[in-house]
Amino acid sequence: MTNVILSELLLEKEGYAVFENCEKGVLRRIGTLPQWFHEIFGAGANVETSAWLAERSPFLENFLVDADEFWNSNKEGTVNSGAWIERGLQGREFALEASAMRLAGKKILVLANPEHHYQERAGTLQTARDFTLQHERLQKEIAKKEILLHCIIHDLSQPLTAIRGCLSLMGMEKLPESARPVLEVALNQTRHQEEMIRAILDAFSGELAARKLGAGDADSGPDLARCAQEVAKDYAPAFAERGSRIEMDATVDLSGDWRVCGDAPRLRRIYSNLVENALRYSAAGSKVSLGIAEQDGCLLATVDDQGPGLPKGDAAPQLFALFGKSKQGGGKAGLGLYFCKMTVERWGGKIGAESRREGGARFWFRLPRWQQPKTASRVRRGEPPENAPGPDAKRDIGQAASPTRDTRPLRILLAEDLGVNRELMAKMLEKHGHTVVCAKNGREAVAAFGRETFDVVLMDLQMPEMNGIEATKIIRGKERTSGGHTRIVAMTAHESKGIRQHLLEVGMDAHIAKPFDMDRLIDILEGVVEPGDQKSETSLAAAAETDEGKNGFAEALLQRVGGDRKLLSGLTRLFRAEYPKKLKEAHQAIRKGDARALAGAAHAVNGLVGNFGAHEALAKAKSLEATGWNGDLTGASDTLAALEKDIAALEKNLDAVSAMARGTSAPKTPRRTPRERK
Amino acid sequence: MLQKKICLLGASAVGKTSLVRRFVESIYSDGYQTTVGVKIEKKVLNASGEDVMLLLWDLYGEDDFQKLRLSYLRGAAGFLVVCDGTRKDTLEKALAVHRSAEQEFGKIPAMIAINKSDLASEWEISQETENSLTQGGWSMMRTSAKTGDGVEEAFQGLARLTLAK
Repeated sequence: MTNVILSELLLEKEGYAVFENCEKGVLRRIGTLPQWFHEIFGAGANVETSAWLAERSPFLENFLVDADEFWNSNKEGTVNSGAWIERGLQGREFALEASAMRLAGKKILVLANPEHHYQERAGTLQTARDFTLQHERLQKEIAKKEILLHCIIHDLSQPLTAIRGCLSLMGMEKLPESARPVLEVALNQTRHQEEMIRAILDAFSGELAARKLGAGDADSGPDLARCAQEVAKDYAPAFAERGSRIEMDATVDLSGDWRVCGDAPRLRRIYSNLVENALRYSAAGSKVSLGIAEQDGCLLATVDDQGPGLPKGDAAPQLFALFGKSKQGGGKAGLGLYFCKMTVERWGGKIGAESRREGGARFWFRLPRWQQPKTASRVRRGEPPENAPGPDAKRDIGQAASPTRDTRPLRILLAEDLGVNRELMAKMLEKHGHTVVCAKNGREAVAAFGRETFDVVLMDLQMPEMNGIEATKIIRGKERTSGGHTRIVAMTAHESKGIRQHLLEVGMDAHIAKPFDMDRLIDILEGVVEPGDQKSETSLAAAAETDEGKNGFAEALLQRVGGDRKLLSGLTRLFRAEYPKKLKEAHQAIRKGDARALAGAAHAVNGLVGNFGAHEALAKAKSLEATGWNGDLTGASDTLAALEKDIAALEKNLDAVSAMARGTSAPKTPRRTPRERK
Repeated sequence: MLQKKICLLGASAVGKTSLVRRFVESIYSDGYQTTVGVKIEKKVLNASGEDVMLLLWDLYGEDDFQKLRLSYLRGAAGFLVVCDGTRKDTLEKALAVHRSAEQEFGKIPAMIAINKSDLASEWEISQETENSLTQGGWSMMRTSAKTGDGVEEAFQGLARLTLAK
């Protein structure tokens, strides 16, 4: 019966070659053999034993071992060989599959030529693999472009220092009154551009947490009214050009406390996007009004226009969707409002839009009020936050050199390779009454330092012949024999906690990120040469040394985060969640010999341990990162092992930090960092 | 004549089939044609003064779509572990397949072929990585199925390793 079924159903209709495996490897053919079998094994093929097949097909030889195992077991079903290609006697290739099964107690071997099924499968796999390869290629392209973009943006930031310097110099000249507002707008725009560039660079470097955007908002919270005023001022000419106008709502008390959660650069971008949107729908003679009010403990910002209002229906949520506006045919790319929504929601707020009864549209966003940390008492209600952009803007245009400013002339050694920046900075510093000696690279700086005495050295980091770090090391080496300590301020391309720590380690006292405004530089110069002056926020030694030594590890950390226990707790949690992953990545990178991945993982560890001032761990993470970038992984495993030990020590200290951050107990015995214990 | 079963292991699209075709037929085709099953080619070569028939098991590349059946490796005398020098992750994948093979069948002579050496500008596997593999005891050859560079040498080298065992 079995033979009949096999013979009728399989052999003749489907072209299978079927054998019964008898005793001692004897194969008994069931039914007739299909044509393809003859094409492969010969027209007169007379298969009598499995050895005969095995001899002619190494693949079948291998499969018959599996088949035998199956037949001699109690397993149910079938065992299949998977597809293989067998070349026929005429050179034609056949896709074959073999199966071993048991039917009515008999050991059956079936050979099939599922050509159609094979082609279909090959086609599907080909498509899938082609897509996979294409996807990989695209990812590589994207990665390359991101790096390129990073470089371009970085380069774009370079001329900003010069532009801002020029504008500041112009501000010191006797200008007609009508020119000052124009100059002010230009300066504000350069500042905004600088902030955007920094934000992009930060996003690329993945160091958002360590970011300092320059407006000091982490300490104070941006001021809604101030941002609104600035944006209104910036856009006033554009409105005037259309015959319309923009103004603050008269009911807003500008002296009130309008600080919210967030940061000033992005808050300005939100306002700018909403105002730009209103501008597009503002006809001649119409007005856009910026309002601020308290609402349910939050602050509500509104942008009211007198345009056509929102389209009817449920279009409002769509406005804030990615590319939402462009789909509707209005606006530009549809990214601006999406950005606003994402940012406002990230800050714990809400955003929306509605048509106004009196005509026009209202775009609004609501943000939580900024909460002042208990120990950060520098900003008082009603006073502008420190480093707030408004006053800075004015100072840029001339008040920086105000006679009330208490400065003493300094002898400054300026090491900067870019001629235009060097000259401008020198001019600006001289305008402030300082004496400047210029050096084009680290070597010249070292030579000048050997010849003359300076109060402070301004040191660019990337310079030809000798970079700023090498020069600093040499200067510090000289001081070890000659005595004394000249303050060195590093000028870096972008700032991060990791970089700050590294600069401290090589002997620098403070740093300023380029592009910078001259007033900030002047502040730092005065701060670093006047030891009693605590204004210098970038004083590295103060941040990394004094706190720990004075109050113990946990208390020092708490001070470092402005007394914000929640933030400290979050930092600790983040550290504990993240570092094991990064160490694992580092291990994997070393195992794979992937130097770049090692650098990336080590860089992330830098940022994590840097938050806790763990100098030993930081130095090792730095070294590991450098190893990665150099591409030579020799000794990387040892450094990683040492880093893990340091982190284990740090972990112990963090128990005290966690307790303190929760506010449950303060450490009675000040904990010390691993370095301090040594 | 002495016969040696050589299995080519590695991720998909690294050029295993191209290496076999270059070695056996001295031809190369630019388009990528995925291998679905197993194809066995034969070639006689003289290694260490001895004629050897190599049975080259060109196995489909392992990826998300197809997992390698280790039973195909039964009786292998040597493994040619193939990766694509322009896709560094394929090295790890090839080594992972080799580790599985070694767990199943024990230590068998093997050689790494880092293929596509003609694409120097896209090269992703660093000299340090190669050095560390060599220090780890691996025999290695940069190959290009396209130009033929290193192909004969890789198979010759592997054949010698199988004979030396």
